This record gives sequence, structure tokens and C-alpha cells, in this order.
Amino acid sequence: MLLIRTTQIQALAQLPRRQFIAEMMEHLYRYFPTQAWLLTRDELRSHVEHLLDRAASYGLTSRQQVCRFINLAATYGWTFDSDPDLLWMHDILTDGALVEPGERLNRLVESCLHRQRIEARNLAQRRALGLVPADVPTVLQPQGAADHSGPWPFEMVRPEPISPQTELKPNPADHRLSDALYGAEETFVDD
Amino acid sequence: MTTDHTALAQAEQAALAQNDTQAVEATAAACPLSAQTVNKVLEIRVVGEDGEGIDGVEVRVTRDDGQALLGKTSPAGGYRFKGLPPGAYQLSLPRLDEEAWQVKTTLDLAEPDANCSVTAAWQSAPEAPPDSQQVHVIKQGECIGKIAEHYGFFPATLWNHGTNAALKELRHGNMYILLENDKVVIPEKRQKSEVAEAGKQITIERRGVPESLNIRFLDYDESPKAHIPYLLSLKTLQGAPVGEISGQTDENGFVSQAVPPSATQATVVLNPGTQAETHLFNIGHANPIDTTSGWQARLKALGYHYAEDDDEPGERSEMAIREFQRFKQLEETGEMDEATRSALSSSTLS
Repeated sequence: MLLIRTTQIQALAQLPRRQFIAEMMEHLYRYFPTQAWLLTRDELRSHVEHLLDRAASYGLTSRQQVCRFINLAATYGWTFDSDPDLLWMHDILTDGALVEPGERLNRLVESCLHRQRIEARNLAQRRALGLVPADVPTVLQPQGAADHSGPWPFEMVRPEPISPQTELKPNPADHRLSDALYGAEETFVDD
Repeated sequence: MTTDHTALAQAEQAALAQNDTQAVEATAAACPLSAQTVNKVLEIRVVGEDGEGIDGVEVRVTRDDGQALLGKTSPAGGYRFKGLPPGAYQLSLPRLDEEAWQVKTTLDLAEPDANCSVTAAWQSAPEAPPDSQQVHVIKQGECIGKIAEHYGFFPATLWNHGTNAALKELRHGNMYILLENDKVVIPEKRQKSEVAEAGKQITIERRGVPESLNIRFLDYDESPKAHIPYLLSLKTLQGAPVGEISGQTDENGFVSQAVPPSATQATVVLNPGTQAETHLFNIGHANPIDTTSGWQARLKALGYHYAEDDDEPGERSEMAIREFQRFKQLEETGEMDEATRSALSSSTLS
């Protein structure tokens, strides 16, 4: 007789969810590399898991709906649906005029794409009119090698190297070299 | 059609390839039982008087038994009711007064777009909230066009309503120049419906949208700044981005564009480039010319009044009036008399 324990059934039931989370992580690495690579794999997995629950709270449960919800999160922020600056997105997700959650999601994605198109068109027009420099890089560029030469950055004047003839004097601000403390330590040792 | 290259647009394409019937936690997709059923689509498009789509308009189709489907238009103004059995339905726009919309065209949908295999989820039509007459107190920046859009009316319906006759007379019939705390009566909304057949594409015109914005640019001698290139940017009440418009002033120095009634601020960049000059306008903020702040703002717009609008006719105002009267060859009284007000009104077109 084959015996399957409850814990095993529970683990099997979790399998599709775990597979989907892994798929979504790969999806994020592919389409939103900047956002995904800023996080560790564990952090990214945690965001995706949280987003699955957030999507479900809006009635979005199919693989397609959740994937679209994750796309929005990667674009507008992992907590976009509770961001006070993005209330319009929350309003569409909870719009009572549309009965089906999928319809609300459709409308939200369409609105986002529409806004992005307008912003892109406005930017292109401003560039064409010379109001925005045409050569402003829109992606991060490598900024040159980092300075690992020590505590003195390149632009600062380095202190003169100490020559062997230089007489070293005790620094009165340094209590370890103060006469009083030195004397006290001596007394302590003698006792 | 615009092609999107943004990360979101590309990721959206990938997301649409995912299964829409399989739940995340399920091991297999649901079986499409009604795949053989062929239902119809009814496509609605709501446009303004300029033919541009309008976002967020509620549309409803109702069956003979009272069951209804509700939708909301996309940013392009469209909404598709899917899964309707062939036949006729009642189409209505529940948030709009009967005079605020009209059917413009009805066309047959092309065959692949007209059919679908899904079945519509009909629901009992929601009880309409009691819609009674109310009073709207005007805030700075509001005009009849703005509040008509907000309440779902055609502007002229509000303005010509008998209950607003006294206000209309007080403001000399100009529905775009009201004073803060003016009271506008919003009458009860009247519903109407039109017969709509499944498999059709119906275009509806929202009357009174968009509004027209006219800004005139003059030189110091009041000659028009004609044929000057400009870029017009707008801010709206909702904060949604609005497409910027570039063009040239006409021979009378006008920038004339269609704008959403909810536009609150316009920025005009004249001569974009190294010689650019930027002008900012708060739309609807001009008070009536028979108020002190109203004529002060107009003198300021013409370059005569350099002080802030203070609502008090002081020494600077008197100087500005005299300067204007001199230019217009009127008697230099230093007071805003009827002749001066009339000249000022015709110079500022408001």
C-alpha cells in the first residue's frame, strides 16, 4: 500500500506555486534586469511571493493576471498598489464599476501604457524643439574606474611622506601618549 | 498604430502568452466548456467633439429582463462588451445627462472581431443612486465647462437651466468667467438609452468635450505676435499626463487648441530653443471684469499693472489705468469707468 502523508500532499500542492515563482523570477531577470539585479535572489523571491498575495487580494489569480500584476510592480515599485503617489492605480484596481478583476487589470495596464506613450511622445517633441538636450543618456553608463588608492581621493593634495630624519613628537591630543597617563600606568605596574 | 518599446510593453507581450484560465496554484488549466458557443461583441467608442477617444466613461447594456453589463472606456475611448447572444439591447451612459451624449455612427464589426466564444456575466442592474438637484459652490479656477464635465452634463444644459438664470445675468452670460462662491444649481440628471445590436461598433459623441483654449500673445504696442512657434503643455485636475502640442500662433497672435475641460494650468513656450520665453496660465482663474481683482488681472496681462492682484484699487492701479487710458486715447481719469472697462474687455477678449 502506498502511504502519502498530509505533509507530502501539502508539499505537492505547493509545487505549482513554487514553479510559478521561479518562472516569474526568470521573467523579471529578462524583462526588468535593472530592478531584478538590484536584489538578492531571496529578496526577489520574497517580493514575488508577496505580489502573488497582493494580486489575489484584488481577485487576480490566473497565471497571466499575476504576471501582468508583477510587470506593473517592477515598473512602478514593488508596493505600487499602496503607494500614496500612485493612488490612481489603486483606484482602478478597486473600481466598482468594473465587475471582473481581469477587466480592472486590463484597464490599469492600458492606462499605464497610454501614459508611457504620452510621456515618450512629449520627450521626443521637446528634443526635436531643442528644449531637452538630444544627447542625454537615458541608461546608466559606466562612470570610470573607482578610486581604491586609499583614504586620499585623487583630487586632494596628498601629505608629504615622512622622512627618516623627521623627529616624531607625542601628540598631546592622543591620551595614549600623554605623560600623565604614561606615569599612571607605570605606578600601577609598580604596585 | 504606435509600437511600444518600453520594458512594460515588452513584458506585457510576454505576460499575454501566459495561460489566463490556469490559476497559479493549479496544476492544469480549466477546460473551456463553451468553446463551441459563438457569441457576439458590441464595441462602443466614446469620443469628444474633436473625435478623440475619452477615457473612463461608464457604458451599460441592458437586456429585456433587466439584467445588465457595465463597462468603462479605455484611454483610447473604447470598450468591448463580449459574449452577447445575437439580438438588440438598450445602451446607456449612466453617468451622463441625456443631452451630454449622442450616437454618432453605427457600423458592422468585421467578422473576426464581431464574434467571441466567451459568455457574458449578466448581473442585476445596480440601483441608481437617488439623483436630486444640488448646488455647487464655485471654487477659484472653476467654470461651467469644468463642472459640467464633472457632473456629466452638457455645459449649455447647466448654464441655460432656469434655476441658474440669475447667475447667468449677473455674469453677463459668460459661463467661463465666474467668481469664487458663485452658486450653480446642478439639476437632476435625465437618463436615456439607445437600441444597440450585438455585432456592431457604435461611436458615441460626448458633447461639450473638449473645451477650446485661446491665448493671445501681443507685443508691447498690442500688435499680434503672429506666426511664432510654440509648445503648449497642460496640467489637469487628475494629474494624468497630457500630450504636449506644438504649433505656430495664427496671424492674430492666437494659440488656439482643444483642451480637456479638467485642464487647470497651461504653459506656453514661445520660440522654443535659445530664444524661448515661457508663460504660465492658470486656466479659469480670471475673475469677472466688474470686480477689482478682475480688471487688475487684465491690466496685468496687458503689461500695465506690475503689482500683485490685491483686490484694492490703490496708487499703482490708478497709474496702470491712466497708462492704459492714454494708450487707448481715453480720458485719463485713473478710474475704471465704463469706457475703460469696455476697452479693457475688448483688448483682453474677456
